[in-house]
Amino acid sequence: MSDPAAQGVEVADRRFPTEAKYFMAIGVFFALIATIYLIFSDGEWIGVSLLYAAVIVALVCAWFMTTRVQGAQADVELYEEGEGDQTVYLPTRSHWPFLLALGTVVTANGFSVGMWLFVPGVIVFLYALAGFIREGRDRA
Amino acid sequence: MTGEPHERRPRWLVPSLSALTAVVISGCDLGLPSPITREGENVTRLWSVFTILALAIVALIIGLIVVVVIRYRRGHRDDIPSQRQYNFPLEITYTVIPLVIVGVLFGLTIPVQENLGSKEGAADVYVEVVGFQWQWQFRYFEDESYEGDPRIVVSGSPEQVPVLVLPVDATVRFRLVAQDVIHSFWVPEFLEKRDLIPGAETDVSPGIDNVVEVETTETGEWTGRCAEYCGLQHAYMDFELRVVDEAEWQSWSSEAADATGEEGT
Amino acid sequence: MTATREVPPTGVEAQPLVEEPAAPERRLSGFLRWTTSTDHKDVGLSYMITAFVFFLAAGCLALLMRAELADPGQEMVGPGTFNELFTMHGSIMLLVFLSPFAFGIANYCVPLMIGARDMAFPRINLLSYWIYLGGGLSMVFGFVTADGAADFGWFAYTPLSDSVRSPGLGAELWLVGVALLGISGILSALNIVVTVFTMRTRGMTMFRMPILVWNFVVVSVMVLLVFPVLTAAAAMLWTDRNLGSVVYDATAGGQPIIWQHLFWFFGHPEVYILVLPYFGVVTEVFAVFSRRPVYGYKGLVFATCSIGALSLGVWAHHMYATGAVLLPFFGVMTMLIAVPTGVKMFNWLGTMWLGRVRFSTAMTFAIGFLAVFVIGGVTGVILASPALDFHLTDSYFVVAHFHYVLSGGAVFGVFAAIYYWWPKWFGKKLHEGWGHVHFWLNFIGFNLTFFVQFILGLEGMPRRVADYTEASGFRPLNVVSSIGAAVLGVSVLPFLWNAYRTWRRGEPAGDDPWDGQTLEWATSSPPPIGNFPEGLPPVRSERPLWDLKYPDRKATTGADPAARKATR
Repeated sequence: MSDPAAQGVEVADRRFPTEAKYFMAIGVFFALIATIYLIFSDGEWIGVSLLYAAVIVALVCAWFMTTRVQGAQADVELYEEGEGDQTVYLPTRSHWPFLLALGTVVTANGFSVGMWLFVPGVIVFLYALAGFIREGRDRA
Repeated sequence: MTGEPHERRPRWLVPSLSALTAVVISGCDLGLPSPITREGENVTRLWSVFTILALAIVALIIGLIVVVVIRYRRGHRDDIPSQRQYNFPLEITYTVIPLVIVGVLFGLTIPVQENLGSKEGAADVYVEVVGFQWQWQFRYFEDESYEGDPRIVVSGSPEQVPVLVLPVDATVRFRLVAQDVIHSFWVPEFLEKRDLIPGAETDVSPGIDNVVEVETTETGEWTGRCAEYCGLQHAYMDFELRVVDEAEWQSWSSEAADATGEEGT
Repeated sequence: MTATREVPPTGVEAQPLVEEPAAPERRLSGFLRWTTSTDHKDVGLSYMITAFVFFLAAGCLALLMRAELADPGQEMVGPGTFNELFTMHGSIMLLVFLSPFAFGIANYCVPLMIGARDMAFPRINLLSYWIYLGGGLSMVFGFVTADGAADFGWFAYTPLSDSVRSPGLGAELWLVGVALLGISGILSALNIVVTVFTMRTRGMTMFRMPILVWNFVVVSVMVLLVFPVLTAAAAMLWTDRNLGSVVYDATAGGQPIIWQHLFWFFGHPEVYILVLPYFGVVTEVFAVFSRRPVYGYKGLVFATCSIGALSLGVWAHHMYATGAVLLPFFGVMTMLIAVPTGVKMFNWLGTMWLGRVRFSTAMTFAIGFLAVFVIGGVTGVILASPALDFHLTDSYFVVAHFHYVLSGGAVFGVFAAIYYWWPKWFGKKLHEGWGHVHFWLNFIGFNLTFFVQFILGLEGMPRRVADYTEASGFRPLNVVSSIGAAVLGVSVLPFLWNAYRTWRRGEPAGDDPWDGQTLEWATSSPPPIGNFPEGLPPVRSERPLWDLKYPDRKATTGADPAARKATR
């Protein structure tokens, strides 16, 4: 099961998977657009920098998809019945996201409303963040 | 669309196109106000090309939808229809045709837009349009430097909207200046508007072209409005445009210049 | 293939990370389910229900505006309140309703459609929902502050939105809300991208994913590229207002135009972020109710990707009238978007062509979507021409245009999605008769409201005005528009009744009520935690369930010989 070739199934080369190609295409396209815009826009540097930032983001993603996560869907070409990846930990209930969001929202409002909201917000946020991280760590 | 549609399409295309032609021949501006500037006439022509094409495309798509709804409704035919998924030549066709249409439309746009933006030679009248919350002021200058004291200043009051008086058959150059927030100078019959951006007249915001030029072609009175949302009284930030003949323009401008001079001293 | 798989022997310890669950987990209920369940289906429903409540609220704001505009003079609300109304109407509809509703659909449907058990990061999923709700409420709470809600328009142009012209807590809360919604959107998008890229079931290659999933990939990548720009722009506006920086302040060396560039770099792709998910929805609906494969599937995928890519290069077409932008560049880029959009239209028609079209409510809404969206699309090409845009921008023509795209297009898509997946979500079918009443009221009301606004805009009515004069001649069409708005408002009532009725005594729908094609119909309605207890059908095309049901009627590249035999 771990060796697709043993099952006589033709498996596409996933060293440069579709996911990576997708981001690569975005990066190349934006590089083209950004360069055209750079030449003709006569120093409209906001758009130029935003477009080049998009190029960088896309290329980083393409690199990441090629080098780091190529194994994540190694068996996706197999025509078996299956349930997908069963090795990932997927919790079905947790109260930490709610508390973390509460902390985030209260803190953000505190920026504008005042310290009396900001300080409790930060406390809830830090408490929930710690709980959120520890929950993730404890389950292993 | 696997084969059959081709011979079907004209059946819907022909009547819709002829209906459109009828609309065009009836000679309206397809909803657009009739222009009072030379530049506006070009916009009207461009508008009719775009609109007729747009209506044709809408008619085509709606027509095809109607065909689908009538011909391909399930009804009692509870079988499984053709499962054909690709028709490469057809797909290329309906990619290339829109591409060509877009190319043509873009080609038609460019000259009109360059004409709207062109400011060659000297103009007859130089007006600085000043917008502030929520009123207009019109300052008439002698030349394109817009320097020194304006010859005429027209201001509005809470009871009376300001009146922008212009001579007919003259080239008028507007320099748009905002004093607080962004406004937009719009006489609908000009068929163009431009924003007034704070800081545009200084070096702070380079590359902002806030000068518009029009050639007036008709006498009459029209309403101008602020088109860019600018706060509480935005809806009431109107002005009046009065385009007058040469004689009236001469008498008005000398009177107004005197009045402005008296206020100044 | 239900046994737990071993971890590939690459890590330090090769042992299963998950034990066999002893018994199926019991579903939570009520408040606990809302706040603590990380199941993607629960989060998805929370998103959609919350977004729909915001939709109703923002719709009420619109009705108030239309009531005020039905007649010249100030009758119901003054200009101050009116400005708050349209600001919040736009902000809620765009940021708190359409986009989160789409994320709700993504949460519910994407894992099911790719055969996954859940989203990749279930807890972050729940986190982003609650940040979204908090952000939306922060924005709306502006109404109960002393100075009222934000009133600088949903695109908050500087310097109108600075601390001098728009003081008050409402404006601050709007900024906080925008920043929070931005964060929430980024988290959701990240989750969707990772889910689609790492959790697909066997056989589900990228080019076998349903179009809806593809659209969510494109949308999510766009969100990741542009939402940070919005959040950064909002943060800079916040520092301008509160800490004395002068990024956007022309009187102190800043540039107001920077805000427009940053905002529209987010704002234009945002429009596609709002509408692309519903393109996906109607694609699924067209295929299922025509009993056809998605016509030109690969072309459609490329069209979607090019719309997404092009949409990042067109932001300044909102700024033609500033006189500060490169007109030909943005003109041609914007018009080019019409090409892939046209391809999609013909693909949808091709999907229905030769089909066996069944006019369920979902299908009717999808066809209605197509009919109104084409009007929104062609007027978009008109607006793309700078020469014409100088007249049309900031007028009611633009208002009509984007309502045809978003209120006609996207909201029809929302209802198509609701009627299509309701059986999957709740196990009961909505009543078709009431559904059609809803559709026709909606369709007629919508066109009555917004078509006349094209003409109003051409005649010279600027957008965002609280009032107009009798002399302007705008009155008759405004009356028509307001009557249409009333019909549109009423059209929601049959839907609400339908939902209530179905909840009380709807007939059970079964697993696959529409003769579906994609994997979400291959499990129970609603699916249990873990989604596919019975395993999945093999995935060999983008219609695994269809292939299972009709093994001898697979999609063909050329003419379909089986169909010819059947019809003769």
